Amino acid sequence: MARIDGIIILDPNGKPLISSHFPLHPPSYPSLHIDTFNSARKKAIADDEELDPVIWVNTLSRGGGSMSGAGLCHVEREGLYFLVPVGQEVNPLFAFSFLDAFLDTLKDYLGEMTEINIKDNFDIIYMLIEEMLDEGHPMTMETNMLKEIVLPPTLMRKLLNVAGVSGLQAPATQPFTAPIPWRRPGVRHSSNEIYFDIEESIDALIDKRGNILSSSVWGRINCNSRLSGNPDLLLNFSNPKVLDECAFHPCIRYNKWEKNRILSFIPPDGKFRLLEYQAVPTTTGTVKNQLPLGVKANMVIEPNGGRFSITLSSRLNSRPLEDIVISIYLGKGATSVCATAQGERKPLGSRSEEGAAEGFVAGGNWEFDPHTQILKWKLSSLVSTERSPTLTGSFVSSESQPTPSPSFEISFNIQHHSFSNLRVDQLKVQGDVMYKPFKGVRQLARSGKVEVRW
Amino acid sequence: MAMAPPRKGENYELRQQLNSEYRDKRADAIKRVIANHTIGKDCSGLFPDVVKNMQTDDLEQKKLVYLYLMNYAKTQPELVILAVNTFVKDTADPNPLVRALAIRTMSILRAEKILDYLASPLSRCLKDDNPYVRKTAALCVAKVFDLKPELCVEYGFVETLRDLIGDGNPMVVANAVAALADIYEASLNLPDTPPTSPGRSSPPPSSKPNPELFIIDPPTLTKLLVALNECSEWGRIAILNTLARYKALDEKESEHICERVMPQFQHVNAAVVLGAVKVIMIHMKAVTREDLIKSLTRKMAPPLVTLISSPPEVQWVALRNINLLLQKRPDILANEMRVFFCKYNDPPYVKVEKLDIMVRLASEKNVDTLLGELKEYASEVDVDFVRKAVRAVGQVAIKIDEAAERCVGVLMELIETRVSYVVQEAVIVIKDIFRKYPHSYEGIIPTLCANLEELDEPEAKASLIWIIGEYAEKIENADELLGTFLESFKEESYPVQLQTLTAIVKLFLKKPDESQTIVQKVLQAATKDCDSADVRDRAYIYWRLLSSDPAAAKSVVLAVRPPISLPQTTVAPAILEELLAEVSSLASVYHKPAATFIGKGRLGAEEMQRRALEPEEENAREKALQTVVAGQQAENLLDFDADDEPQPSSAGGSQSLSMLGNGGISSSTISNVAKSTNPLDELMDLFSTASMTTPAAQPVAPKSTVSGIQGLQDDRQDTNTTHDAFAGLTGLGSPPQGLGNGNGVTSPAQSQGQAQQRGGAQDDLLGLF
Repeated sequence: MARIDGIIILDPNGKPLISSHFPLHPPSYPSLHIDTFNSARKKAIADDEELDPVIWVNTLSRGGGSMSGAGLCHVEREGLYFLVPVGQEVNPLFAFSFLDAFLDTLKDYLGEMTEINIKDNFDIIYMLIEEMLDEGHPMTMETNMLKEIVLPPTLMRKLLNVAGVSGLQAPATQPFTAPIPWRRPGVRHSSNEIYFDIEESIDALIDKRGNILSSSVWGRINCNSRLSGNPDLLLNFSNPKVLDECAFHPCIRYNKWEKNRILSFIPPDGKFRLLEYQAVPTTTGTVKNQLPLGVKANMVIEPNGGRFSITLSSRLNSRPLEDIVISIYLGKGATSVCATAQGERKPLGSRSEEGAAEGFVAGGNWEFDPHTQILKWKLSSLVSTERSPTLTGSFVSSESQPTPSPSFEISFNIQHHSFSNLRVDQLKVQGDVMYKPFKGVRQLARSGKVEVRW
Repeated sequence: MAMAPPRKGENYELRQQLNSEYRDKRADAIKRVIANHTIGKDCSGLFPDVVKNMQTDDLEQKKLVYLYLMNYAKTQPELVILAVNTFVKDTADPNPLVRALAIRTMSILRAEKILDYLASPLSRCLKDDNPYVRKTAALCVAKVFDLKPELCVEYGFVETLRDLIGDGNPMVVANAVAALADIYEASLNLPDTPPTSPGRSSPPPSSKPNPELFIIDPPTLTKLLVALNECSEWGRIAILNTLARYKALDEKESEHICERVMPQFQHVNAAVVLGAVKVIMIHMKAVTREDLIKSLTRKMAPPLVTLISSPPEVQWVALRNINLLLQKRPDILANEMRVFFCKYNDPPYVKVEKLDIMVRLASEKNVDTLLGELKEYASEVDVDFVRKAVRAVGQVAIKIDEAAERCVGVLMELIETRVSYVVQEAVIVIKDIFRKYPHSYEGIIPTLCANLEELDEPEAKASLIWIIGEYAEKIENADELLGTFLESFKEESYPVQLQTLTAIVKLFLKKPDESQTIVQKVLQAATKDCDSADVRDRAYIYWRLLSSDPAAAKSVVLAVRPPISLPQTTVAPAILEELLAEVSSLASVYHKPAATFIGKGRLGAEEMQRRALEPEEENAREKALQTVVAGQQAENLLDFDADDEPQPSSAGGSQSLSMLGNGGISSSTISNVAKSTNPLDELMDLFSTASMTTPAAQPVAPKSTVSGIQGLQDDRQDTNTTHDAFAGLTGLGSPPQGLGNGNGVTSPAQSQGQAQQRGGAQDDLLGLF
């Protein structure tokens, strides 16, 4: 029922690096998928289109399942292609979420996902896949537990291998005996700490006049728990009402949340995602989530070019906006840009010396990449008190009717800020623990997909 | 002739190393073997050498050897037996990892010989202390069942599995459920299963496998619902799939299931969310309690919206499913249209889905916002998307009467942009608006005509010509405009030719004095110079009509057409029901029932047709496909929108009129006037006219009146599809009264047979009129 066929990893040229888990199928089965994928990709590139995320592969034979073909779910990460053929009537999201989990684990094991890394550690990856998939059923997916069974590649192990010593890494002999599936037993830490990172991102679409067409704030709480024993935690928010549409880590007791709006859980050890949520607009009524950034933009298209101007202002009084990047796609044929960025540096509050920090340019920098036809304007920071920085300029295009994109993207970060104003009130540690852990909460607000039309 | 293994080459080297006395050399060699296998080199020759390395304390090395065995066991079945002892020994190893690994590998090898050795270790492992071993063993049962169902029955593995649903460890529960589900599916496919009573009792102890092996009885259901909240996301998916299959005993139980499944909406994993949506959609059917239904629909929307913020792949799958759900329950996302606004940087496949959903959500309340958005999209660069956006404006106009005027306004603005493809698409869309709201927006006709030169696509041209013909009496220089098309008649594509012909005839009927010459010209051109049978045949019909009875011609050609409407669904209701049961699966992404691509391949497609036939509506798509395959290539230009109304658009055009030459009307004719329940029914045009003028004919028409003459076969290009396509044209040679008892009925029975056979497909043919 819920079963996938296997997993294939392709290098950027479409050659297989890893192809695992097709014992049920004829040997041609994976190559059939690879070929179909490669030709579909070539065609898509030639036609300047994007591939549908699920491709239909006619496998002719009725391999393992009961379909006369198979769906091929694929994603691209870091230039590599990850394919999951689905030979049965299965939820494609199942394949995608498996891939997601698989990629997370891979990242955790390999650090960086590169072709070389994968080639060097193929034995570990095979073993991982063996553990994660049993005939297409996801088996052990928690990184925590996988690490007990499949040891991650470490320098130490490499040294040992080179020295010819093996068999030393006898892992825990009693895996999965823990009563709590996500936590291994007998965790010990010399210092007991737990950190919560509240990360929020805002997606927004802004029209010509600067009005918000649609916007939503998505938040997630990442947790890094380094607590000994089996701590039972109670996390209280001062304003739990802003949390809407929560998606919980399985460790959270759903009923307690429904009843008291308190998060009660025994955390896994290490890093994990505790919660995802959508924030309810803080202001009541129809007011939408405001963008902390005011934008005035104008674009005039002329034959063989165009003129533009963008003015930014911060609506946030408490904190500076940081790492602001505005990217504008100037359309096919755009060859060069001439622009000036103007601005003035006025520090927020008392932190005046920051203004003189190295490399700071009033109004920021812009650059144009003629290959991608993208103009980027970068500002290291922006505060509400300074005169609004502007970028004015023009571009030249080889097309007589240039077609720059009708909207541009903005990205930014705000440290120690939360769009929804979510606040942690209190964290209580219960259970069989005798220590007082160190607790930390950090907030980060950033832009998700923000598009401004002009 | 047996070949001695070569003494050099990589495999030789590897063999040496595999047999080396040094452990690290052997370990290294195994890795290299696996690496070679990955890049597609054949390493099956090394089988005996690799197997020797099985007995080792190094777990990692063991795993790699096992991996090798799994890959090559199939090619070397007789050698696998060498490994059996080690396997059996390993299943009793003190290390649970080794136990699990051994039992799993044994079941994956799929070798009959091994299976006999597997049974007793497996039953031991199913009761192992360690949950890791138990959960691995649980899945093994499914694999054994696949190979040798009798074995499972004999050893009572399936019963053990059922007990495992009550296991304390949620991971074991999840795997037990997954295995049982697999067994259930496999048992459905067993060739000679004895028919079993649909009772809920446990299977009788027979050696024959029973498809009822995995029955969910109320106690199991309770276990499943408890496990649902405890196991991993993957286990939840398996349980939800099983719940979707479960037939609730009564409404109470359905309610219970819905209530217990609802919390799954809060899961991080999108697959769980969609799985839960599916279960609720299925069990909701039995729920009648108003407040529960309300709360279910209310809670269903937000998690779906949350999926929209996922990566594009997930988004796309979610959107496809949302699109489907909306067809059944349009209210669930009524207030969420903004979420679906397209971003410029969304991948095209996401944009198209969003657009479709937005039109579905359009209502009087949000129509202004929507139109603003659509206008925005129309200024983008992606031609395909822009066209779809323009088309969406037209769909909104047809869907919401009150907004039609605003939509026309937007379209006029778009035409002013003078971007060629925007203008062309807008013209096509306006044609549809005219069909829905005749005589409402005649004011814009001059603007449309001003853009005549810009049109270069057949569909746009044909649309504009249709408009000119329709409103010929209001357009002063209609004859001039049509004259320009007449000049290039021979070069135009067939759809444009057909439209030109019809429009000029309309013009003549409306303003007979001024257009005598032009109509003669077009009839001449169409009958003499045109190589399309359809165009020529239609010209002959008109000619005959005009010459014998202009009044009849008028009533036929200038008939009042029924307005078109936007269908709520893109798939037939019966299929929709089926798809909803498959929400979250591949079927829902393709919007085709699983039967069409699962199982019997092409047979599946026939099955789909059969099902589609049940609802009279929109069944024609498949038929159309058939016809297309049969070699038809014309286009039905007045078809509202092939994307939205799957109808035999392409088939229609060519089928509709295949009159045969030599002046005589010579074809079997039938009027299979579709039941007027079909909202897409454009072909009514012609018939409604006929019946208007001749009331007597009306009762006859809907019943596939057959009358006609067997034609000159040699003149037909595709007898198959044409000669029954003649809906109601009998009256053409004589006044409409002739309908039903026309001249010389030769083969009514034959034609009637064909008529019934193809009837559905023809519902739309006559849209051309």
